[in-house]
Amino acid sequence: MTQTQPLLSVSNLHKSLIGNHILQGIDLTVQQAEIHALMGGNGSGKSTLIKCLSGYWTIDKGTIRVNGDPLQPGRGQIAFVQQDLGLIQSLSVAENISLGVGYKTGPLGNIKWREMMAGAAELLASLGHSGIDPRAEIRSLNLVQRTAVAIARATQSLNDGARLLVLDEPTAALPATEIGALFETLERLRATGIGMLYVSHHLSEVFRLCDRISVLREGRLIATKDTGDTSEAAVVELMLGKKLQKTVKTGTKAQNVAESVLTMTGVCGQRIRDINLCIRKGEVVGLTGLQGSGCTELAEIMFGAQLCQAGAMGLDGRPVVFAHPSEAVAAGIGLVTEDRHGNGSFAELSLGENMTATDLRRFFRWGWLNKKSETAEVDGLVAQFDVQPANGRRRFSSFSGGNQQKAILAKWMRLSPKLLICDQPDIGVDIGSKNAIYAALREAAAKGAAVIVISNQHDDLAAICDRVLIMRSGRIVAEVSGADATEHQISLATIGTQPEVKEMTR
Amino acid sequence: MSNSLPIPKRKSIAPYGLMIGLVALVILFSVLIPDQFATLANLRTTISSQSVLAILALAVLVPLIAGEFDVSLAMVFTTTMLIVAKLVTDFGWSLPSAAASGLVAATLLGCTTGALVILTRASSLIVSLGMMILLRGASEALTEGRSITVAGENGAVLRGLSTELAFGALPFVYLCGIAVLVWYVTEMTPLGRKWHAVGGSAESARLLGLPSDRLRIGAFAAGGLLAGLAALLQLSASSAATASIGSGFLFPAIASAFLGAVSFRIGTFNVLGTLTAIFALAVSITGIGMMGAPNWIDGVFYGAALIVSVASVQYFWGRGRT
Repeated sequence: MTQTQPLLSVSNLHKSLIGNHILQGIDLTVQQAEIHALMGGNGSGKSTLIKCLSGYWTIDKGTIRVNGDPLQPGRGQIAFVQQDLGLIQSLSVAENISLGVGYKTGPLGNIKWREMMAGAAELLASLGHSGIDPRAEIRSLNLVQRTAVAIARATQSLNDGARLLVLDEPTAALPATEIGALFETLERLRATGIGMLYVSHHLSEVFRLCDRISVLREGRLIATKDTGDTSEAAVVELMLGKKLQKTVKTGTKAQNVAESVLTMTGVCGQRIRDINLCIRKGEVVGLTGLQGSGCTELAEIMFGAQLCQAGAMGLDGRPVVFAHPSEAVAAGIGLVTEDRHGNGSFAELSLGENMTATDLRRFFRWGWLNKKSETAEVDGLVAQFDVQPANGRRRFSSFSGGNQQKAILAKWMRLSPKLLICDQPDIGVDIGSKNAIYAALREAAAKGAAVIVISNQHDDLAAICDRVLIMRSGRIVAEVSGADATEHQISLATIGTQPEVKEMTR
Repeated sequence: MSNSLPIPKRKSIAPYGLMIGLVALVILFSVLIPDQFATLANLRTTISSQSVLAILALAVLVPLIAGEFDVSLAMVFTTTMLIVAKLVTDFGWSLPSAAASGLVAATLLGCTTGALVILTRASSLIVSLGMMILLRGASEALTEGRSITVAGENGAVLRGLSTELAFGALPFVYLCGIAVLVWYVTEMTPLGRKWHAVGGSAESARLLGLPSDRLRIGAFAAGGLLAGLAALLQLSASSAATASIGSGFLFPAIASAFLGAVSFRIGTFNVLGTLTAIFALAVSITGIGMMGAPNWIDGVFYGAALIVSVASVQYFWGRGRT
């Protein structure tokens, strides 16, 4: 690599947030015509570093220089492509591209449409996307085209002479088959001399695309390596550190001979592909993957909340098709949704009403909702799941996250489901409640239910699951079980090196 | 369920504010204008004249509980009156079969609005606004600008249904019956609880396994049916129907449903609150009118009440949120 003036040079950068020393002396350079990968696990400080570059945070100590000049946020020295792209769906491609730099107007304040369209078309063509119509609305484009528009907008927002682009997980929303098209675009940009800082969790992508790799861990820049001089396994070692200790298992493990509750063969959805699995009575199965890997969609397909486009599902050995969640509930499946506030509860109803909403028939006698028996059951559940404060008549939204989650768990448990799916049950939940929730899940499994837990907390999965399925880009790519189901193995499989892809249990 | 608010100890009188206001207004006007206001005749007039409006307010209330706005109900009310009157006068149908057909038509109209809301996934306010304008045009076509009067024997039977019995306050008796029924369904049955749930969050309800689409269409249909019942009562009181008869009813009905949501069960649309609101507004307007206020005060009063009530619902709901 020719050692010219680096596009970006960060030296001895420190940043603390609410008393935590998040970034502890980062040194990083990005050269011209270089794609530089920034990798690291959750909490390694990646986001904070990006936010320091964008000027969202002011830095405590150290220097950031762009092209040799000190960083001046908002002056167009660095262009950013956010993870969610930040495009406005209802505006056209050209309007979105011009949004950042402002619209060119004529003498009467009218937008010079023709000029704007021509400029956008030219810019997209230079990125290899001449197929995108500048007049098309964003929502009519596919995901790769949208990403291209976001990149085009970012490059246009650069000042004359500025050539640094930061991309935050640009492939997170892309299907695996379309990543190649994005990479071509980025390679064209690199050929024009633009340098890129490329944030990603995916090892295979990084090795395919990037020139150098920097690894962050616990707020320190552990190493920067030339891609050619290192291997995927070595980078994983750097990311995870040397902690290889086994997690002590708790709870009883199910035997593999138990009868199956849910089977899926060749199931496809909007983003998930060819899912084959078998969930058995009395086991807790973990499901994990990087963002956008399809865990939530798979859960919603099991529950009839999303369309199963192909393949077959079986419950208790009989084929089933769920057109609506009500059919899944009737068949004995429960879903604790990821978004507790958005679609998992009724904030304005009381806690008790939230709990009993799953089945009101048992209180409906002689043409009357028997409030006495309803209150009795609510009080019983509140005591059983240790909801605090123990008052089922209080408004649901007045409870803390952990207690809300306990109540949501209770509302499904009271139906004694055959299969309970919990999507990120630990989000926004304090540690005491989390342990109580996991204990309740193990107990449900011990009583014969099948439980699926979706989580990104690999240590928790290792502690409570009999086996863990790992998803990537809409497919189940690995399974770890028994003694292999350790935090380390789960993390390895999630990031992308495959320890041992076992035959799926049928 | 006033104590579902996160105020554990001190009991607030806010839930009973409107009720207290109603009693205070009655006392105030009785003292100020005893020979006009505090008479049996005035009581009878107020109660009877507000009954139709109150049933229409209950019609608006049911979709609101399920989280949907149906502004077409006043025109459903008008259309039903016209259909029944026309069937009796122009086609010679008997009163019972005409009335039954009117109720079926009203229910179907509500159902249609609901189905369109579900199919288009558009805001129910916009869809029902379209329905309202469409029905206004259709009802003008039905009447050709004239009023349809049910005369002769049928007219006499109709009037008898609304005036002769119960000291001339028979409409109020109907209202009480209908109100008890609506209260029972919305508060005492699983269906009502599910409507409240869908109104709280349609997506949460769907992911709980509730058939949220069908529940919402059902709420619209129930609204239509109630508007149809209000139409029958109005026809029996006036014997005549015009295309413009319902237009003055819409806003008071909506205002009352919202004002009712700040009484008894704060932040929740409820039957008792709605009825209290209807009569509180009626007493105010009657009293001010008797004291010599001009006619336009009605509009100002209802408009202000609507704004105040919507603002208070937002205020109280906002307080309950975290």
